[in-house]
Amino acid sequence: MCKVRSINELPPEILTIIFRYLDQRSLGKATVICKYWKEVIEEACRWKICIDCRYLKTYGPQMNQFFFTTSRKFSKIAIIGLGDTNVDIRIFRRHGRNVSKLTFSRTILQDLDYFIETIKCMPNLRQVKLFNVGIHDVASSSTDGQQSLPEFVKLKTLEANCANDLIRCFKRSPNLSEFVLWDFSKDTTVVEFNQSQKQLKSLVLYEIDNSSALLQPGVITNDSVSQLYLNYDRLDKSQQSWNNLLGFLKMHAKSVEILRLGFGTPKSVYEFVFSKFENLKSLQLPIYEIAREKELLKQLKVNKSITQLFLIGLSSKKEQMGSQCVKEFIRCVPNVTDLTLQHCYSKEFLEILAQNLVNLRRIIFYGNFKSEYSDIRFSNLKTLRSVDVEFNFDWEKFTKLNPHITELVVTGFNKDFAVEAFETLRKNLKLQIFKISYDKYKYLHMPDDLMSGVPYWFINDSR
Amino acid sequence: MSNMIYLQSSDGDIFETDAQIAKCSGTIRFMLEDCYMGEYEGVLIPLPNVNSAILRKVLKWADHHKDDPVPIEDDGHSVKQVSVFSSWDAEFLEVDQGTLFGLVQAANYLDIQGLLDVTCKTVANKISGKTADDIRNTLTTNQNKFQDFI
Repeated sequence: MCKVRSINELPPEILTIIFRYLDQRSLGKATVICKYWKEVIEEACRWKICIDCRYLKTYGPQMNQFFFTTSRKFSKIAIIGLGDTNVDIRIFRRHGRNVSKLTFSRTILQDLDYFIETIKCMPNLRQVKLFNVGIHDVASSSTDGQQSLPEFVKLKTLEANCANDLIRCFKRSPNLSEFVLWDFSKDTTVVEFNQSQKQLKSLVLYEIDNSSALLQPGVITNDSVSQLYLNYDRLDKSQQSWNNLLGFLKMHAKSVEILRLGFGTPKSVYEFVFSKFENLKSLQLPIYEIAREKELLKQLKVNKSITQLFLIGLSSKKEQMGSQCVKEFIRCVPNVTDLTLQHCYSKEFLEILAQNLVNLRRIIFYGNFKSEYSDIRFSNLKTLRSVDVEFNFDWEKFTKLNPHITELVVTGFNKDFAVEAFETLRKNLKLQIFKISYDKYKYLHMPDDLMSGVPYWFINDSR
Repeated sequence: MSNMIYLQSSDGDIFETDAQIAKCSGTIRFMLEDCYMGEYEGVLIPLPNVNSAILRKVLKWADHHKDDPVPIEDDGHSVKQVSVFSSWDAEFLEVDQGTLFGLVQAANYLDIQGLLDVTCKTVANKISGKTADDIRNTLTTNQNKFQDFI
């Protein structure tokens, strides 16, 4: 093997690996380096493109020309603002097979047939998002279009906030596992669609309101769902609405393992979840709301199956949580090992968690881990992840109190993280995983001898 | 039990190395376990595609990474997401262009995934965020070679 002088003496399969590390911007620049690179990149890499139809009248012909001649492969296509004129369907016929992610937004379709024709060109779709898409003329096309609906074997995620007729076009998706629905209407097609998805694992419902079809009494939902995310800001606080919500939860009580409850959850829902969700592993809730309810907390049943807890505090105001209430709450979740905290900055609160959650192994802390937390002792803590750590954090004190930590991850690294801090970490802890992320293109240069003995330490410079 | 084996580079130099270290290479592992049926103490493996300078570096890298846990493949996307880049690797890869490309090729030929990842990523870092002219100037020492392709 003669010595390689130029990068172009490397075989194309290696160049491919290199190019796959580039982001879209750099990839674009790399295509103009030489013909060879262009060929390799267009053969091996996937592109994403956004077709903004507001400029279609002006740039339509040029755009068509580009799509008909390019050998680029597009895996993500976003279509914005489709209105009076449609994108030439031949573009999708030519490129559709490579598309795995499709987004339609701010679009008014002339008719459903065009939409069905478009998605028929894309049998390899994995993810579809439909935001603010309307149809001009539903009546003429919805019935005859249905007979020839395409099948999407690979489709995993469908996210939509709009017309149910469009959602129905993806009815034949045997492997759909995640269904995200925003602001959904009273149309019962959603219910039918939901029932027909046998592989559905995750159901996310945003902005549920009183007329939401899935919540009406008597509606049978999908019993394969194991993740349920609910947001019901818009639900009025009447007894009837809450009963409907309870009825909906009842059908999922056995299967759901991961549950996310939104703001304004009524007491009856909490009571029901804690006593009847026997297989619940992970629960997210706004802690400041439940911590105010003294009476509720006294009655709340102990749920032994919950091991992961995601608590959301208040960012603006000081948390007004009585320590007694927090203790009562912790009593109900004795087996928690993983704790995620967002907007929970009160030291008193953290201390109560530390003293009462004896099985706690992992903490994920969204926010700045303050220096005043240095003297909190978690009895069995192994993992600490935080967005940032305050620069004058007393690592000496903290690591002595929490000697079992083996994993430390700081995702948004503060430049003041001093070399002395590393020395302390190394001296007091048996770190197995240590990650800090820094600037996008830079990695932190630490003297190697300082970190020797830490078997795996990362500089995470992911993009 | 230490099993020493010998690796012969393209220019004829012979390197003695621990079989465990050499086994980070898929190519060598295959030879030792399938061709020599596991009884490989003292065998000599010729590597006609790797020269001495590169092989020395590869062995240095392999020795430093011999205790690494085997990377876990999660749903096939691991190549892009896992960005293991220790300061040792960074320093190790502060080499001239020719050596870097040589290492890329050797990692490919010897089938050493970890080394292939870090070297390719290093090359990619040299490309990203640069103008076309900068890329041409940086990545070739032989200007004419590049002109052919333009």
